[in-house]
Amino acid sequence: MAGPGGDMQWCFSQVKGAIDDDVAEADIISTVEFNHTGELLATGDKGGRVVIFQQEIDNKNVPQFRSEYNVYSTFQSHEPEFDYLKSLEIEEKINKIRWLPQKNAAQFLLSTNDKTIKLWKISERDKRPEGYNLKEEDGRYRDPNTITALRVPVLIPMDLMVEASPRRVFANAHTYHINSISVNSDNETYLSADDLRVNLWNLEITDRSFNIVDIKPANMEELTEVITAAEFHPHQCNTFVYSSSKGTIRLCDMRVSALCDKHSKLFEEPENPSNRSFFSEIISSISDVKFSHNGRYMMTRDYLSVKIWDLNMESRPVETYQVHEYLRSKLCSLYENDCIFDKFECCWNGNDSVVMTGSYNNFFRMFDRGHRRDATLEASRENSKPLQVLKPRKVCTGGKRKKDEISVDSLDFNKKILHTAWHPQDNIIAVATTNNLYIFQDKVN
Amino acid sequence: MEVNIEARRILAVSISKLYASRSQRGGLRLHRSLLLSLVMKSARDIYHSSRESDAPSEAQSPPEEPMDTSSSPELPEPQPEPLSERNSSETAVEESDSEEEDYESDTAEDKENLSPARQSRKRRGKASAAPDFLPNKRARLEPGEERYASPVASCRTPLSDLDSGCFVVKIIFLLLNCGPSNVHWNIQVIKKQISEPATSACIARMLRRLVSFIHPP
Repeated sequence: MAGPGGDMQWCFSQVKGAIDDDVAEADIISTVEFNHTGELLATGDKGGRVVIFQQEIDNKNVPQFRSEYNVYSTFQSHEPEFDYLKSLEIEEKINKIRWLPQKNAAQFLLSTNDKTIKLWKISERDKRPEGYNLKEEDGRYRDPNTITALRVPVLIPMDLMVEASPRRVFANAHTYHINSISVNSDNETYLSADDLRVNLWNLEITDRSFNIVDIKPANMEELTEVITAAEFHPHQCNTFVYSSSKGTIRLCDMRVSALCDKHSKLFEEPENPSNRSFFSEIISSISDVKFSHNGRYMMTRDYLSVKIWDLNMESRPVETYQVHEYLRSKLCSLYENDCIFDKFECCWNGNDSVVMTGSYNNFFRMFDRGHRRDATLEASRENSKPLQVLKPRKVCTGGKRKKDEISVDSLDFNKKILHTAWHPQDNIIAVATTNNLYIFQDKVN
Repeated sequence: MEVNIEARRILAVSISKLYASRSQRGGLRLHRSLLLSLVMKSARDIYHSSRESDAPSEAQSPPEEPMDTSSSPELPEPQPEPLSERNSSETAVEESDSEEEDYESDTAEDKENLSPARQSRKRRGKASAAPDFLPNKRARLEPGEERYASPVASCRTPLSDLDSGCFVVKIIFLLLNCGPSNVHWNIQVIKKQISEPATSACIARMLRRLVSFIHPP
């Protein structure tokens, strides 16, 4: 994170979304994901829509403006459904989006709500055929008797049109709510995880999936933990991990057996008994797990901290970063206002040297692993002048509040950053507040 | 004592959250229900242990004193109680899950027709078997109706508890199993089971407090 001469600085680039303080529930952003090249940035919202932004090609080589993203495509991915058998409404909220690596001109992504995963093809059309023999230009059919000569239709340029079409629908495989999807490095399979099961799919086959993890107890009264996140290893197509509400992570090898109920590795840190409270179980529940790009480490996010684990060491994490330790004494209030159930995500930068996660008051945190430095930044409309450098923020935890510090009691817990994403190859980040998407880039000297 | 108050407060908050989550869009969330039940269990355990440590000093206060089991020989022996207590927190999860699963509980024993002499109250191993202090799912009445041949095992169970805190939790689960229109029925049924008028009034009072908490006027 430290460039030549000190800490990296971040500048505002763009903000997407409505300016109103009145947030429509459907506009609440529920997932953010860059594609593998970083050229496309997808967001999903509670209303079941996916909006894809594309990096402006002309500006890619102009350092100050390389993080300009414009709307590329918008489509309704999921609609609200009703399960008549159980009398339950199925929310259309997009829980996760995952891009497939690009194989041809079209782009593919998987999007999922609580029950159904869909594979979307996003393709560009910039030419259209003209000069049909049997059709007029407006589409009306010509009377064959009036045709006296034949011609070959030609393709003529047209305004770029981006079409999104659902190519596969993977439905009816999950009894519980889907929390994760992850594309395998083999580019043929992917996994989907709900509270109690993990299923393996082939991208081409929609009518069946293999159940590879099932932690449902025979007697539901004995239920003690649920699956909270799952991800495939970035390079080893046989390896995946899943995290639990108890704060453990299990690494499984699909070569060992068809059903991966027995883990190959169990990552668990013993609890610090001095931190025991009513809410210990809730705050130890892992909300996100992400492999590093190099595949050597994985990162987990629980309510108060981010932990980096070496895949070769199960006994404890190699690094632990406190995101907002000052909230530990406020857990009771956070329980009452439901904030303690918030599921924060985390992400790595392209070379795995920095990790990022969100917090409250529209703050987000970055931890530079190499230089042992961390920063707290804020995504707000007040700091949204073009290329404005973000000032580091500080929360005052007690005693005298210094100028520019904010006290814990003044934090706005309705403004939370749950979803963040880092460009895979560049220092461009996308940070989602409730209904706005902020794009920042590192300061160019 | 303050821990006791805090535990009760957290318990009350948890219950209202669990109740509110029933009407959430998308149905009950298993993860959230599990976390809520874990908090309730912690709070209840702390309340339980602080009540036990305060018990000698409270021997003289009749209103809060639970009914003496020795006076009602037909009640089942207390040893199944630890099992049901331990599992009462999981029943919240089980209850929430049973709404998502196919209904299997109707194949469990018909609790209404259990004879009083039948002592075995071991929990069945079925995935969705209803805990025995909750009424059978079929045993719903219209509002205002009173049941005279009451379910012997279900409503008697809370009264055999020696600790009113655990009893409160169990009644809460009983309430959670019913919609607002059935709450009044529950108070009536339970009152009928109690032979001692003093305890009956106390329990009815507690239930009214709980009801007003969950359904503020």
